[in-house]
This record gives sequence, C-alpha cells and structure tokens, in this order.
Amino acid sequence: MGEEERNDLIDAFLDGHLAQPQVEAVEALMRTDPAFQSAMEEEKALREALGPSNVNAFLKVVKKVVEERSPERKKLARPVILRIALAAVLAGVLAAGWWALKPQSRSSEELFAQYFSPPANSKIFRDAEAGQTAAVEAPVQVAIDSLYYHGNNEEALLRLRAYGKHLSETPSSDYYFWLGILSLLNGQPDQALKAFSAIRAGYPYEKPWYIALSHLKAGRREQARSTFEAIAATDSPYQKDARAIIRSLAEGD
Amino acid sequence: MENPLLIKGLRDHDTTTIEYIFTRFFPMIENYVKSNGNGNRQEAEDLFMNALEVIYLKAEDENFELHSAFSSLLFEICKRQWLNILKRRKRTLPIASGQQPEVLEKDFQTAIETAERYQLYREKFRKLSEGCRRVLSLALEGLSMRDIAYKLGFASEGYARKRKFKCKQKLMQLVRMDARYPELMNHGRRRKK
Repeated sequence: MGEEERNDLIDAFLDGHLAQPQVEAVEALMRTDPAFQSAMEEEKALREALGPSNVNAFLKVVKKVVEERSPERKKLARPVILRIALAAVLAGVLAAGWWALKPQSRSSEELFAQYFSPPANSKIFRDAEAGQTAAVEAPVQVAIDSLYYHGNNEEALLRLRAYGKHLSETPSSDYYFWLGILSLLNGQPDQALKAFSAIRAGYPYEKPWYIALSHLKAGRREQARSTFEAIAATDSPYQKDARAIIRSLAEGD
Repeated sequence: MENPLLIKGLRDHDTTTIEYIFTRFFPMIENYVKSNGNGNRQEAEDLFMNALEVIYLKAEDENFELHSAFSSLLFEICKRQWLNILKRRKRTLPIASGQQPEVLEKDFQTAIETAERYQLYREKFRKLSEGCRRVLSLALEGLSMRDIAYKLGFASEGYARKRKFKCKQKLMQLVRMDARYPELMNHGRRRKK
C-alpha cells in the first residue's frame, strides 16, 4: 500500500466513513503492521494537536488569561511594533533588490503575456466552410472580424455583448468562447472566467486552458496552478505549456 | 481553592479558575526560571501554559484524582520542562540537591511527553506556507475534499486531496527533522513495551 493510499484509508477510518468489513481490515492492519500503526498514531496526534480539540479550546482560554495579565508584554508592545515596522521596511528594500536582480522571477502578468495568444479564428471559418462544424453565428463573426482585421478589441467586445443581450435564447458556446477571449484582451479576467465557465459544448482543451489563464491574469496563482495541473495531467495540446507554467509558478513562489 | 475545584475548573475551561491559578502560582514559576538558567518572564509564561496543558490532558479523564498539592504538581512540571529546555540549549544548570525535580507519577510523565509532541506539531504547523495551513486547517475541521476544493477555488476534489496529502507530508517532514522528535518517539515506544 502506498503512502497516499494509506493516508486516505486512515482518514476514512478516523472520520467514520468505512463500512464494517473495512473497519475490521484496518483494525487487523493496526495489529499486524507496525508502520500502519505508527501512521495511525501520528494522524491521531496531529488531529488532537491541531484540530478543534478540547485541549486547543482550553489553551485558547489559558493564553487569553496569560496575555491579559502580562504587563511586560504590554510594555514591550510598542518597541516590538517599531522593530517589526523597521524589519518590514528593510525586508521591502531587500525584496525589491532581489526582485530586480532575480533573472528567473516571473509574475503572473508576465506568464500570462507569454502564454496567452488569441486563437486563430481562421480555423473556425475554415472548418465552417468545409462543413465540419456548425457555422459561427454572424454577429460573432462580426466581432471576430472587427478584432482580427481592424484590431479593435474594445469595439469587438461591445458588439458581442450587445448581441448577447438581445438573444431570446441562451447564447451558444461559440459566443461564450469569444466573449471570454475578448474579455481577456480587454483586461477583464473575471468576466472572461465567467464566459469560459459558461461554455457547454466543444472546446474540450481550450476551456480549461483559458480558465487557467483567466486566473493567472487575475493574479490568482493558486487557482491557476491547480487548473494547469489538471491540464498537465491530461493528453491536451496545452499539456507542455501547462507544465512549463507550473514550473515557472513554482520558481516565483 | 481545593484540588477538586481546581480540576473541575480546568475541565470546564473556567476563566476564573485559570486566573486564580495564574495569580497564585505564576510568581514562583517566574522566580524559578529567572534565578535558574537566566530565563525571562515570557519563557516562564510559556512554561506555565505548557504545564497547564499537561494537567488538562490528565484531567480530561473523569476518574482522575489529584493526590498531591496542585502547586507542587504545577511547579514540578514546569521545572521538568525548563530543565529539558536548558539541556537542549546545551546549558547546564547548577542545581542544588533540594532543587532536583521530584519523580513525577508515570502518568504525568506520559502527559508531559504527549503535550510536548502536540507543541512540536503546532510549532511546525506555523512554519508551513499559508496555503498549506489553510488546506490542513479546513481538513482538520472536518470539511470534505469537495468543500475544501470549492472554498479554496481548486479545480477538483482530487487536487484538494493531493494538496492536503503533500502539506501533511511536509508537516511531518518538519516534525521528523526536529531534534526532539526521536526522543519523543523513543519515550512512546518504551511506554508500550
């Protein structure tokens, strides 16, 4: 049994999520496998020490009493705050220097700029012409046209939104996809995220990729990382890029 | 205040009882720490809190009865912990014969080791990244992986599970690398034999 599997089994046992035969199997393992028994004890101690246990609730009360009756701590408070403030300023100066000199340091914005490229619309038109996919709706084409041939992203987004508002039925996935792309191009990652999330069909690889990029653009590195990790674990055309971004995110942490 | 009242107060997390214990007994602990090993008030406060944790761990057992004076027990536990701290700092303390720690009941020795182990976990937990602390705290509160994924904006339940496992691994790695860990584990194994 691998460490991760053992960990899951112990959690399920302690959380009471196992059926009786599994409970008996765990109990047998505890009797016969010293490593398993040791891992179980460690998990129990961890829960008692860090979880919402009685002892932690008790310690909170004790700490409060001690702190209230500690005149020296109160006297020390001001110099400590001053020291912390000075340390913070110094740390800021050092961090700025480090940031300026660090060659590999990559911000979310930089990574986004490197990896975000608007999709080639020509493929969609080509496919549509060849009858391989449903034709892209005319207003969407107008928006794309405006974007690609005139480079006016703002106008393209306005047109697309206006079109969406007047639709009597739910907009298509193509609509949401281009709404997301245009929102990203206009620096609106939260709107983009909403749009990409609304895609119902098609775009199996593009949807998670652009959702991850929207998180990255918004500076939510943790969410971006988890989505890129999901992409990296699949057979996606974006797999290689997702892995490279994960590495860069790790370097920047 | 009599022993049973003090123990009941601790079991009930009663502020008045804890204030009484602090006011009545803390000065002797502070005095001991300052005059033996050049300790300071903050160290004495930490010892006091740790010693109360030890007594609480024992008092959680409803059958527990305290036969010695509360002050002696509290003082002995503090002394024991202070000598351990100085030992770890590689400082020897010139102890007069009358200051040698008395032999504590075996049960209390066990409670001291348990409390020290908990303290080690807490200390190392504080050294984890904020992300790891959040994942582990939510898991320890009993949230499902699905809820954790939702709350922290993770892409999937599977990712939340993986992250929790990695964070726990990191925590245990920090715990095991600490010099106190082998000592605490050896005590535990000896107890079982």
